[in-house]
Amino acid sequence: MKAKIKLLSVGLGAVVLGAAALQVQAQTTLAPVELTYSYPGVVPKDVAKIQAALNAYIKPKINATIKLEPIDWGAFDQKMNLGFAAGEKCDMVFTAPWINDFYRNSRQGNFAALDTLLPKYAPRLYRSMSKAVWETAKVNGKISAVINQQNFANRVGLFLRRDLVLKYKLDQSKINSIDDIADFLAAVKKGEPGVTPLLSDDQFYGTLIAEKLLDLDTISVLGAVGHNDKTAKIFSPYDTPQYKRLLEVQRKFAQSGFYTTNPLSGSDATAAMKDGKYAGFVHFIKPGGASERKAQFGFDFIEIPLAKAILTTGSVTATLNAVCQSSPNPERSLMFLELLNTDRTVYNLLAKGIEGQHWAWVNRAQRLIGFPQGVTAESSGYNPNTDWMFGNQFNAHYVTPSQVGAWESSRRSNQSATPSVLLGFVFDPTPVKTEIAQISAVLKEKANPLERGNIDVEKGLDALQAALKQAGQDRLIAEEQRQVNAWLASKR
Amino acid sequence: MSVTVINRSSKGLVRKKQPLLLSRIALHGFLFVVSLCFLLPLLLIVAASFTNDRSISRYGYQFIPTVFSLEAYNYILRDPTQILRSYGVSIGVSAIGASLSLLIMALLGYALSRVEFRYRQALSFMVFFTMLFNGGIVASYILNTRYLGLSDGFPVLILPYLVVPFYVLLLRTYFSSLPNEILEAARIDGASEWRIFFSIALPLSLPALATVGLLMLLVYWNDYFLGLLYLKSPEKYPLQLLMFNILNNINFLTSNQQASSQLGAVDVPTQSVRMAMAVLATGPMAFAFLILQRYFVRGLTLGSVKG
Repeated sequence: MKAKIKLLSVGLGAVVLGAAALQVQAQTTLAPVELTYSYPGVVPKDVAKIQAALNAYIKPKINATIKLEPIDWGAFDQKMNLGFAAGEKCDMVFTAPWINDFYRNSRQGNFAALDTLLPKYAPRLYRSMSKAVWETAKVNGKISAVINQQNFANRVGLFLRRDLVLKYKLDQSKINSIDDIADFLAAVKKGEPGVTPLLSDDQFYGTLIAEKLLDLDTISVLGAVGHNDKTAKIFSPYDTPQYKRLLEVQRKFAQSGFYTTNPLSGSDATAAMKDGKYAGFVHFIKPGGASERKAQFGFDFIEIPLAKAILTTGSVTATLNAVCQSSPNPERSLMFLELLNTDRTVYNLLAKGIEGQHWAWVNRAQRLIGFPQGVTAESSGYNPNTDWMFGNQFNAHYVTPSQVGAWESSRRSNQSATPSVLLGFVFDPTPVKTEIAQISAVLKEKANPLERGNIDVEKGLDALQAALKQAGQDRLIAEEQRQVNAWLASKR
Repeated sequence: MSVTVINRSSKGLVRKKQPLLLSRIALHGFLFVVSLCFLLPLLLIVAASFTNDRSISRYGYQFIPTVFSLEAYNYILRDPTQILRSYGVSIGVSAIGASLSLLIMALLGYALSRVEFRYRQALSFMVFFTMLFNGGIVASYILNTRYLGLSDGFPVLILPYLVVPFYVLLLRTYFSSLPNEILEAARIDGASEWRIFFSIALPLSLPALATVGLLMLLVYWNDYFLGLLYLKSPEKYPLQLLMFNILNNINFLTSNQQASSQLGAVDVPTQSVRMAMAVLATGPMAFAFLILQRYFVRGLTLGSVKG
């Protein structure tokens, strides 16, 4: 009897031991999971092929499969909002301040906090960007999404058609500010019938994007700081003499006919630019930007910077990928984001497609690719053209010879760009919602015609400044200053 | 100033040559202008689809394009799989949706029109109540996706519009205008309720059914919203959603400053391609309308006026 009991207890012990061993094994090997990744874009034909190739590659690495869910641009916001409102489960989503609102979603608790998960499950991704950069992805003190590394230093500049620059012998070295090109624009207007010197449309081409030209870091709809002002004193950019001077230049340009007085709609203006009806435009410039513009408009452009390259919270967090709060597998999602940001194969699969089907090497040493034989941009089944959406853009293959080296110079420009004193500061608009709404309305009504040079500067500017005061400019700035001071104090 | 336009003669009604009157000219002129206002934009779309972008940006939109070109149609029809598939979806959903909803609404409307039906009051109230109040998008989205499991499939394109309360009431009104004697005669002859409904009530209500059927056809054909909310895979997109997405993508990308600074170069379909798509999408419906409008006009008047 005793022997029997002994035997039994030994057997029991073995069972317990066995169970413990099993548990250890379950911890080291990952259970298979499926993760969803939703992002905006024109839904490509071959998305299922990409998904299959992607899963074949990553399954052995992290034992997860990805379900790609591209959603049309125009529908993305609505679908995401509805999904979050209905409590639908999701794993990873694309987010940005301008689509699927990063700040609103973070504040509403739709995105998971990544502070502890990032260093643990995506160490290489975490190390690839400085602490100051991660600071910008914090909302309410928590890292709420993964920043896509790309050219962070936004600067405004001029794009001018190379053929016209050569024809009218524009000396680029003499261009220091926007009014230095007036002579060139006048010569184009005179010498090229049917060509309007600068592109304008009913959206945002056609103004000098005044704030950005003032080397300021801006907060919310109104409020600016000199980017190197250590005391971070906030003021209204609309009250500065520089703003007035820009308006005068704009007015002069408009009156000299450098802009059309009744601009076309956005897509019509694009078509007209393709047709060579404009000599150039003012927009953000970045390394490799001219080759993107060539693809868009069909002309070679010369870029002339008009402002300093400044790192601001807004320019760093232009595009991000977040992990949903509702995700059952946030760890595995981060493992995938780690791959997407550090593994060139994974990244280029999503950004460029499958080798041989959607792209082929042109020059492997330069990482330059092109379309395979018989495939064009239009006939390709996968050509999203949105590198910056999926992860670290510096891992992307180059698509045109003139683009080669752009990532390296972007990286350098990110390092050399002046960080704004407010880099990392995120404004919480909730206490001044009313003021923000009123001020936006005033800006739309009064600042827009001024910045397009349609009305007289003196009168228009006085009316604008008075209306802004009325709309609660001082209360907004006071609130901004309060939050900035608190943020500065917490940094010390 | 009274004029007899129609003159009774021994042969019956004969049209007399009408004198050109100022009021008549004015009236016809007015109607002519109004109909032009409806027709010209359509013509302009057709004309713009038969030219190329270069011509549009150079000469603007023209009724008779300076440059005639089939470029846009070539572009679309070079790879027409998506458009054909969407056509299939739209036709299928419209046909199944319209006939199914017509059947169900007719059944409901007929039941509500019978005085002897016991739950008439309660059921009428439910129909009427949902006409005025509903739970909103989020609630119905949660119901459909979580509890009914309707997402990314064809049923979700059909089921939510199956019963439109207003049309149920319209059909009920029409059914109650049918003379009760006929139905009673059928009952005395031994017809079952189903037989009465299908063989007596329905054939007598053809104008109302045609009207509601046509309106439902339009509802299903023109709908993009259900697809926008529930569909994920593009191969299930109905035609209108496909068009909506193409146009909306362009609007989004050209009106969003940040998006455009991010997107150096995204190839958006050109003006003429968009017009050609509009022609391809509206064409068949305009044709169906021409065939059905005979019933449509009659149905509208017969439904409300008791003859």
